[in-house]
Amino acid sequence: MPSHSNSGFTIIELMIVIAVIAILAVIAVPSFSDTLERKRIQGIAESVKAEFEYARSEAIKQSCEDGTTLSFVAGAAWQINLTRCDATTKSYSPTSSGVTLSNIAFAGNDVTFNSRRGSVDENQSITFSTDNYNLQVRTINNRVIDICYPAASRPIATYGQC
Amino acid sequence: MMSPLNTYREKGFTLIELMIAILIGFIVVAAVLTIYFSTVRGSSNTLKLTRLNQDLGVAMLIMTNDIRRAGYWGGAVTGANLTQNPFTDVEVRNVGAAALQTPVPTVPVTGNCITYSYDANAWPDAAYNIANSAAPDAAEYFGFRLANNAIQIKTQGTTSQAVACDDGTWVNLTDPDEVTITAVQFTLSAEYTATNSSGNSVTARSVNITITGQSESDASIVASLSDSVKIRNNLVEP
Repeated sequence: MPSHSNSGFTIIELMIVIAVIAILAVIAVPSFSDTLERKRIQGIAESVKAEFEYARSEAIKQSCEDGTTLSFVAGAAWQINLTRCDATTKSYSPTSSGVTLSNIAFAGNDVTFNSRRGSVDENQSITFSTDNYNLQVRTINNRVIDICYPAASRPIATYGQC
Repeated sequence: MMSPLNTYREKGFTLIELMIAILIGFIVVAAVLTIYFSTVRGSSNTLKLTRLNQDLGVAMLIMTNDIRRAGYWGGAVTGANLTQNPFTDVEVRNVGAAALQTPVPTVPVTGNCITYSYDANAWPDAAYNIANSAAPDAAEYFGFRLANNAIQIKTQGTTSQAVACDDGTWVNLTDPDEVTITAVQFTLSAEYTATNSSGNSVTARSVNITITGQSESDASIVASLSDSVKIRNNLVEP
């Protein structure tokens, strides 16, 4: 009768298996945190685009001469402030999102939506950045609000290049 | 090789035990991954549908509010002859086709393009008020149409070819990179006709708008929106 007929794994073997699992995890975690970072900036860009659309619909609903204005404050603690033509305001500034408002191309750091037909300043943008990604929310043709990634930035599949 | 003395049995997992453990592990991991991916897919679909609804909603809001102004005439002051309103035409047709019927249909007409005008620069400066039967400015011809999978807004016309659907400057109102507009339908109808104190026939008009779009990246995300506008300025005919 063989003496080792019921032998199990040794501690060494188990530790090798654990080491392999650890190596795989080390490879997988950065890609997962990359996904999270991408999702975070996407979420911010989408909600800012929604703010733009909201500002435009408010301008049209209230339908008075001055329209609705969005003004921007850049930085890590960025802000977007909406002023309707009846002087009521709404502020949007997500806390601890890890996303920075890095560039504002709109003259005077604000943009006004025309109350009659919803037009805006043409071909202007604001840019949001994380460590590895950048996304722009921009205006095209006085009308369309669009999200795109700058040419020098890492692409995000959902969007086109600016 | 025989061991003369087998005083202890080595303990550990057998191969069978280990394989069962791995199998259970795989089942758990598969279940978690399935839940994860269906959540990701669900939230991505929700996002697309939200964007689609938002884009269609804003386009509809702009269209209804602007079409409602059709026929506004700053020169319509006391003593003016309302049958001379130069802004009164509202026309519906398919892009490229002749106007279906003007200035007002006896039966509702349907097309994917609407053109109209209003006195955009009349107020508050009365000096801009134009006289009876003078033509509107080029910048006062407006319209909406379906073209290149987008709703387009007419920002500028010409005075020579006032209301055609291929005339003037048109820009996208929706983003074709994000939303594909598959159908736009304007239905112009006469609500009722009456005679006013000057003996002119007055017709109230309304426009029904239906727009259908789908997400550019996912044709299964479809939304449709419908709204109705009464044109505030009635058609006055002798």
